[in-house]
Amino acid sequence: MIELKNLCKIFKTGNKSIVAAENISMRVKEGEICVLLGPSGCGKTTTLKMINKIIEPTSGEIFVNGKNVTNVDNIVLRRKIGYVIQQIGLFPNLTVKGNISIVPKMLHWDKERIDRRAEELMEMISLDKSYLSMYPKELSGGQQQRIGVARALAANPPVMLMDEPFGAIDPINREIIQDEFLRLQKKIKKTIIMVSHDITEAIKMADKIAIFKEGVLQQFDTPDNILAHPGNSFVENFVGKDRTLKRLNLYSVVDVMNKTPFIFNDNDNVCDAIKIMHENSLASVFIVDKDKKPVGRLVLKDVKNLKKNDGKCINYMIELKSMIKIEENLRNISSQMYLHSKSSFVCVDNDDKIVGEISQDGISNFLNATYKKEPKGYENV
Amino acid sequence: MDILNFFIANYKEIAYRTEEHIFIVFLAVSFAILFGVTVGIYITQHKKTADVVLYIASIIITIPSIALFGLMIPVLSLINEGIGYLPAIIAVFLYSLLPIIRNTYTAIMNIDPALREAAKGMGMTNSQRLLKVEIPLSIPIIMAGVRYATVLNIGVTAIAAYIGAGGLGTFISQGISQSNSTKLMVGAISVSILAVMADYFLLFIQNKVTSKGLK
Ligand SMILES: Nc1ncnc2c1ncn2[C@@H]1O[C@H](COP(=O)(O)OP(=O)(O)O)[C@@H](O)[C@H]1O
Ligand SMILES: [Mg+2]
Repeated sequence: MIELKNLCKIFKTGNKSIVAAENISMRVKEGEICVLLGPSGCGKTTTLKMINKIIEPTSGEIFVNGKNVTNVDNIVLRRKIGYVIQQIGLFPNLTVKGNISIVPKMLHWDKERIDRRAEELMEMISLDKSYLSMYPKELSGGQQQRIGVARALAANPPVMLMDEPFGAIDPINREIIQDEFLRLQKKIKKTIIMVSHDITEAIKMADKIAIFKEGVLQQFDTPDNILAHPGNSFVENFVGKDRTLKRLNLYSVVDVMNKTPFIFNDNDNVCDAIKIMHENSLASVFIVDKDKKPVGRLVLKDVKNLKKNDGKCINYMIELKSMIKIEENLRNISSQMYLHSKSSFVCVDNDDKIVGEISQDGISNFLNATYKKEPKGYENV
Repeated sequence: MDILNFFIANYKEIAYRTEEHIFIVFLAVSFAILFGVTVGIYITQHKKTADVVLYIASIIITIPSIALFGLMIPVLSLINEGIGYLPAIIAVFLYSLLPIIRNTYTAIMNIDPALREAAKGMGMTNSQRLLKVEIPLSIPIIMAGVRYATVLNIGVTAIAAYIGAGGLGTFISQGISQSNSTKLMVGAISVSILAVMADYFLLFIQNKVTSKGLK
């Protein structure tokens, strides 16, 4: 856990003084990723660097896992906090292995343990062991970035500070590394404070977002609440007019889908289906085969004039063109709805079995639910 | 032909004078490395001292060597060392300081501040940072200073023959005073070869001690 209490930093340069952090208070729970977000120069880096005492606060207190950092020796404190700097900062004179073994060596781990850890770390960041003997200049930007993260993780610190850790890579690789990192974080569950100036990155990575403006914390809340209930006009402008669309990134199909759609088997009598559709005012139902795999959609207006004994559903249904995996995020699904002019999709699990249905109305209702609740405002502490 | 014959006939003395020459330069430059690198590192932390130190060192290097020997003779005579090895070693030491201090200072000042911050952030102590990061990264530039100092001072040492320091300069000074051009040439050629070889040797050492990641 990391807690900041009334943290202030004033830089004095000549006769000018710059307030880089003004009375910042927040608490990041264990295992959470908190993203410090805001435009350049708003004090994100300054706030981050006060936590590992690279920058001395002007006033205020910082607690890392319950301990006031002012009472902890700088060196001891920093060896327990993984630190990824904005410029990556791998030591060019050391191999990859040399770089990632620095902290373990300072902690006097024995050679065998260091070797084992080095291999483990490479696996974590999805790089081959053969990279261990290479020098930083032989690596691509993305690989260096990964090594930077591995180096910070080396001695398994409970807390990580990361200053724009994915900033120096091209957009495609950035997404790959972000995804990789989130998968890793699921396993290692570090308490992380990460700086970013990119709202999309923040939404993707954060459990909590802290938005700054000119050294002042504007709002500290979950990504969804920040997007749904921006606390002031600065935050509202910062998150963008398309903030509702951005919320779609936060959820996947499984969060929103109707898990109990009406379904019929392909050899059920079509009239039974028609009856149910009438009774429940449905425009269509999905048809599945004996393995519960969706095969088609039966649309009421195509079949409403059929009489009894007119046959099985399979004869009247429209074949399904697309199915949606439940882990897809809502933004991609919405995009496909517009692409195919569809208002709903059938959702399947990894065995292609039907597990639900997702509709435009369902998504709207889900997104609107938060507005019906009294807005929570924002927890500033 | 005369020169070659002289080399063959006097190889023992030439070898002895070369040894003397190397001894003076090696000893003085070694001290200069110890002292110069330390001072160079120290002044990176004390910017005001840095200007003064670099200024003094650059004044020293502009004093002509003959003048420097002249200045030292009366002083060192007080301890009966006015001529011989000692003034030569001191002169070489002093001349070596500027390139070594300046290169150390420049190299360390030019280290990417991000690396320093990374080192700090990982919990390195100042001395760990110096030994594991800053010095290894500075080695190519420091070594360039050492090579420059060495080559320069192989020349200075040749002149030190005039104050009785021995070395290969002895052939030159004797060649001049005896109007023996063969002897003069032998001295001049030997000093030149020694300078070139020393430079190559130090380059070899530099390559050995520079991390592959920096090449
Ligand atoms: N060492 C320093 N001396 C003086 N001013 C500084 C120093 N570091 C940062 N600042 C100023 O503090 C403000 C916040 O900087 P910073 O925390 O780096 O912003 P961010 O990381 O959000 O871009 C800026 O106005 C910056 O110019
Ligand atoms: Mg910054």
